[in-house]
Amino acid sequence: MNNSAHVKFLEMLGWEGEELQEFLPEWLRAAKLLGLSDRDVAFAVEKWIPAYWDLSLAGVRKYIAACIRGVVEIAKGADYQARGDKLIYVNMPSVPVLLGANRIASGGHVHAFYTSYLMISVLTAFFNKNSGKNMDFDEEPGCFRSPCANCALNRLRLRMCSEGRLPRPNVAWSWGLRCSESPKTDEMVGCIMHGADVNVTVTIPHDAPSGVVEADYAKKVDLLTAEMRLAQEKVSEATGWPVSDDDVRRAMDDYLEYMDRIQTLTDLVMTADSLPISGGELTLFGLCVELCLSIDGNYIIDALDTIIAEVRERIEKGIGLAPRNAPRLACHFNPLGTPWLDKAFRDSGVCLVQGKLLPFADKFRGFVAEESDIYRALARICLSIPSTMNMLDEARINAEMLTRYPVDGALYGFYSSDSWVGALQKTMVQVIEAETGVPHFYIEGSLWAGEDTDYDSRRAIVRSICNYLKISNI
Amino acid sequence: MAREKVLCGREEIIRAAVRIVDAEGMEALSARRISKELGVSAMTIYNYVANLGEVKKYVLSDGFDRLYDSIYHALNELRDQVDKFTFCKTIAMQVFEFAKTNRNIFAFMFFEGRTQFLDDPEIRPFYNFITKLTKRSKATQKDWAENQKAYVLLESYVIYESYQVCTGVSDLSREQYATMIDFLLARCLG
Repeated sequence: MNNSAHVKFLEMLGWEGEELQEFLPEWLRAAKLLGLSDRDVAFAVEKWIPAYWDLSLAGVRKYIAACIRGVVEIAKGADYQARGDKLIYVNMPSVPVLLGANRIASGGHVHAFYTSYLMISVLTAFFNKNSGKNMDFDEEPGCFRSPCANCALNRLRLRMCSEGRLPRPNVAWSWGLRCSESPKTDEMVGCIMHGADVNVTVTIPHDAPSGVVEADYAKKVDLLTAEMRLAQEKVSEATGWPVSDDDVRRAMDDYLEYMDRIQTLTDLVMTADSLPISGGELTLFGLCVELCLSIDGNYIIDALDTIIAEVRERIEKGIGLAPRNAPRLACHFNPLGTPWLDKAFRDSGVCLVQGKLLPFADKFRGFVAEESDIYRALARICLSIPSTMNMLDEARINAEMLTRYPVDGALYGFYSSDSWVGALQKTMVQVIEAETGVPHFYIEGSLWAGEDTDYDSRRAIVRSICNYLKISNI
Repeated sequence: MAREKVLCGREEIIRAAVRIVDAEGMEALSARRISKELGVSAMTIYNYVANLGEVKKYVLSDGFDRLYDSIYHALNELRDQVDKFTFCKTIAMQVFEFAKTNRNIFAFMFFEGRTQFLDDPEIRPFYNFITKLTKRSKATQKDWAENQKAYVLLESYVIYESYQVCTGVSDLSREQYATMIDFLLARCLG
């Protein structure tokens, strides 16, 4: 392996000198796990990352570096197990507070990884490696081959397990808050190949009356609270590390510290005259709303503090990515995996904003203050993250965001790989548009597919949306 | 056997389909016809698209792209002089011109295509555009509620008349059409 591309990659993100030399072998190992060739890394360094990520912002470099550290940690899983530590693999969507609590309670001897979510996010966002053309479908286990339309996250996890590329975890913690495909995948892994020692599942039925605010719906909150407590008991039994309510509170404090900064950043960006950072970058910083990187939290907090300071400076100086009157399109899906889409819109004079950032720190702190049971507070937080609750409740939350941060339009889509979310969104956009009057648009495609797979056929729609919004601005 | 040309992506198929529909109408569009245009086998097309319906959707969205582009550029040239009358008239004239220049595409967009794709979440936002654009535009927003019926009437007339012209049923000239638009706007807009 020619290391020069890898060295340049790490240097680009801020590693230098002795720190770089120490980290390099760990990164090389992670790169191998991700299936990255020297050429892939060189492409990322020379073309992809500079094209779509503003590396002049130290905060952006630091956060990307944090994501890379997260992947390196995943790659070290076998080492951790060899020394007696425990591994938990987790899927999204889920709120990572309990995973943080496990780490706190164990003094760092329990490692929780969002393996497929983090790996696919890194691969698509920074390397343009995707589950479409660039990953070889023929190498996928036959059970998951096309035309079965399974989520790329689950396909990647299944593939990693079947190839033995990831060590078998002590616990597979399946969260089925939105869909059940992930828990079913973990069951399949457990049945037909060597899955986790223990499968723990947290699921909720989607039976709340349509329109009910589920975070305040006692029946659902009680159920999720009980599910999470029971699940944590099982996890602790498997890991040997009990987790107290105080551990959960401490983890919650860490999470809210992060969410405070997300709220500050969102407020700054969304109220600035001219967009200081891209929608993709906004999403990047919001990644830890629904995953943990399992690294020293100070890296993440430092990256956020840095970007907040840089954004304030840009706002003060009137520096932005687009002219002041450039239309803003609130993008509901995660453009992290499709940074090219963000640029395609900007090249046509429209700014994608909002991403998956959730400025709910105040609301979440309110739950913690109101509830004596920290698990109950956590349940209410989980039931406040869009897509976990019934469609009309989610529509209400999204409508609130559009009122809080006025935009010229809203964009949904890119969930063609998820028949549940994709279908709901197609109905939901009409509901929110009727309520808010904000024009809503939809684009078919897959979050995890690549530019070459999707953009060709969507170019006309992207341009039509941009012209529509620009006409509206006249 | 000659080596078959390699397609680089869907874009080539879309461009070929648009050329065929522009020249010969939607009824001429088929996988065989596209493949002949591109010099590839019909089966090659299906490596890039699921079916002919998908291609028709691309043709439709390409039509809206070009229509909206012409509307935007026409309005942008008038930017500081746009009031509700010029806003509406400019859109009306651009739709008319587009229909005359792209007869087959326009006919598909607002007749067969509308029936097929009005419920498609990607395409639906682009229909009823005069009513929607006037609701958001700075030029027309202020008293939109009072003039809503006027915009609905305007849209109906614009699409109807443009469709008549593009299908050859009507030979209304540009000037005659402009006169009708002026009359409608003067009578209906407060």
